[in-house]
Amino acid sequence: MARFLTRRLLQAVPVLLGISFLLFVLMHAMPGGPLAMYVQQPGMSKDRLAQLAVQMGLNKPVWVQYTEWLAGVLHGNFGYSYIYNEPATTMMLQRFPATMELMLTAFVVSVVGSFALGIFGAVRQYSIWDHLITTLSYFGMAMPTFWLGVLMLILFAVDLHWFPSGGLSSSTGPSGLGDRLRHLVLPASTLAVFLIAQQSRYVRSAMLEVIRADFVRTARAKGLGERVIMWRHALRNALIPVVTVMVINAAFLFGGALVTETIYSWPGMGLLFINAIQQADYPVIMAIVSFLSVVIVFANIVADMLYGLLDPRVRLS
Amino acid sequence: MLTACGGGATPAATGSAASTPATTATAASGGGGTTAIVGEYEEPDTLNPIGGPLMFFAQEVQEVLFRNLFVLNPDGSLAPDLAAEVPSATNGGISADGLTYDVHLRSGAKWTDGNPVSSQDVYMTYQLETNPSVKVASNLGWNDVASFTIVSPTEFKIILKKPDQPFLATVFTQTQPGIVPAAAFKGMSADQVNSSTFGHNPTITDGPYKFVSWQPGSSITVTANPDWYGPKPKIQTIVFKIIPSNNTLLTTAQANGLNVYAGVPSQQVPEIQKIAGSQLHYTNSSLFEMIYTNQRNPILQDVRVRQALEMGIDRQAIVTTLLQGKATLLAADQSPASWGYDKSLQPWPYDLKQAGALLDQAGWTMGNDGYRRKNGKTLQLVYATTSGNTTREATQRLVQASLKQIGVEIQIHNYAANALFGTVLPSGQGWDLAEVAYNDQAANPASPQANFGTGGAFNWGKFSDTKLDQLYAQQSTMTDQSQRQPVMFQIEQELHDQLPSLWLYSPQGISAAFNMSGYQPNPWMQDTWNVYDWALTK
Repeated sequence: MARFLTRRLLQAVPVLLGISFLLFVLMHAMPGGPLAMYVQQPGMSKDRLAQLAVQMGLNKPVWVQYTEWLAGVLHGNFGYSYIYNEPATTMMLQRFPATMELMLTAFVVSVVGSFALGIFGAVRQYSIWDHLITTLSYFGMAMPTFWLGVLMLILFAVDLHWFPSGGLSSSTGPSGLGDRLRHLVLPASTLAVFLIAQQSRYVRSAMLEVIRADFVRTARAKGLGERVIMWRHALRNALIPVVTVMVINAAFLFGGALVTETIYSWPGMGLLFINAIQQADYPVIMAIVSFLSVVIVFANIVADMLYGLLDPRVRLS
Repeated sequence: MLTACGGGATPAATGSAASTPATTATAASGGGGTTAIVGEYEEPDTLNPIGGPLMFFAQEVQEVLFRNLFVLNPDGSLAPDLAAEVPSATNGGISADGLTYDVHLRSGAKWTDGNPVSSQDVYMTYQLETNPSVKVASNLGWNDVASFTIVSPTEFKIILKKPDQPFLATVFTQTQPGIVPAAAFKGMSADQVNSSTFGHNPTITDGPYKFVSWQPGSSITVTANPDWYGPKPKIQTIVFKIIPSNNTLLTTAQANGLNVYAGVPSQQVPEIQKIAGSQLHYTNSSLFEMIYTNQRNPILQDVRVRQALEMGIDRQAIVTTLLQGKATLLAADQSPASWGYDKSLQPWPYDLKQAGALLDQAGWTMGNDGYRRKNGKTLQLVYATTSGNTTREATQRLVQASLKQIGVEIQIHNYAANALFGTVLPSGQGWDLAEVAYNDQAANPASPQANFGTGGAFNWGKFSDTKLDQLYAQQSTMTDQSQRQPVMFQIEQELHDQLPSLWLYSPQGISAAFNMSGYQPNPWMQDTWNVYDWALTK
């Protein structure tokens, strides 16, 4: 296991370097650039633009800018936002707790929900309930977030006044745990709907495959209770493919949900990322993208290691 | 300022407000209401009054925290704020040659750290504004200053390199650039100024409200400043809530979570009207919409073709159907809110027959397929604007249909705002016609030559006209508005005849206040300019 881990970690280094270089070059190839915001200022002149380019280091060749960026990163410095004049890492870390709050909630709800629906659908295959769940999950996967989010907002915030329409907590009045939770319901549900729809399909098909396997029949023949068979024998084996999907999903969730955060004015990393892209705020874009690549590469390693734990047939060496 | 906000949701001046339904209900029923909620479509970049780049929503918050020497009233006239009076030639504040300004500050204005607002603060602002290594929002006006002398703590003298009639309005009226507290930047290097935390934690301010907190991505809270020299604010706390979607802004308003929503898209007006306690405000703006013509394309170098295009577009239909009539058709480049606007100048008529005749004269003959040709080439133009802006996209379809009737083929190719302004327009590649908005941002046309003067900073179409350049040069050194106005009118006439851009309209800004009195948007300032008059009515 230790050797496996070391090898995978070493392999991750060139992967991460490659990703960062590629993204850096692609980002600079995008039309517009950070000076576009300044081009629109009254009284802007070509000389002033040139001065700003020097201040931001944009006058140097891209590969020089990349090596300087990389040198900074190795010293823990991702640079200052071009627009906000704050360290990019500070800006990212300020948004991280909000993203974690939303993502962990959505993830936990989705894991519980998709196991419940997936197992139920598999055990009662072709029942009316199974058909209903299947239909609903296709519906959930097909519905775009920007539509579902606005729909839930209109229904539950505007018409029924059950939940607030956005933000992390109330601007005035009490903002205790109850208030936070009320703000969390709509955005977390919007995200969870898609995740449950997708993941419950995996759980269902993995379960279906397993409950027809010989070892389950053997367990039944031994006279074990249905509950024990399902939880101890079937589910554990069905977990293997499902875990990969869920761990990778979780990794993507770290980046924040761009659309959901925008609809619900959720001050997370997704919102920051969208703004940074629109403003071509290179240091912030690179900080977020680097963070995400690290998380996703590591999530893959974790998923592989979980395989080994869940399935004795897989030997990590 | 060229305005074409990214994502296209906010055409010009836009703001918004929001909170949670429960919250506002509590605040409203809590007797008088001590907290107002103002929505922000974009998160401000900085609250530092000289930090850049310019952003409407940053200025909206800055205006409650910082004051400048003068305010521009809604009618465009200057009134003293931190200054004791408006300098003029008659009161001896401006020298006869228009070069020397002698400004007196009012007494009694204090920063929140207890220090009086003094000439030292204006001097610090001057130093930072004119230091090329400091990242300032705009140094328009400041870069014309030759020398700055502190006479006393309440008096200073500025000598300009050349006369600049709009100088006071450009430099001393808005919050971008505004006046910084000298204490916050004393002894700092340019790098230290650029990375200073003052923009995100402005602890020293001089406005009707004081900074309380900034939750990144979420909200900025300010509270009434009891030591402010002006009228006592009626609302104790204002929360600027960041809600980066017009749909969410509307739903938040419907859920009674909003006191101010500035920059309402015209399509949302009917919905806003249905909300109890809502009040819609339409304000003339200094903004106007136009379509640059790219003079690199030989087709557009012919003035007859430009005139035919202008007459071939049903501009009134655009205003009536897309803007609910809340806009004025333009004959040239000044909005009706500006004194440079010549009322007597009529917009070009919508006249397909005359347009067709002009194209015939220019040698473009109608082909069998309904499009005109000359020397085997079809009359085909690429029309670009910012993608995602629904009003502009609908305008493009109307223009396309309109011009097809006179045999002009329009191809639409849009770009993200950042790409359009950063790459596409400056390069001159990838467009023949480009629709953008321009905003002079002052009641006083500050740099009219920027758009169409030879070598102008925003002369994207590379238009060049000798007569126009002469007129621009003539007005740029005039110190008196009454002297400058007839020249500005001649410029208007030339721009009308030559059509370096196709003139469209000047839209009215739409904003809504909910359960509030005293809200009075001002075309020349942010809507928070008179925040001390705001009061909650429920």
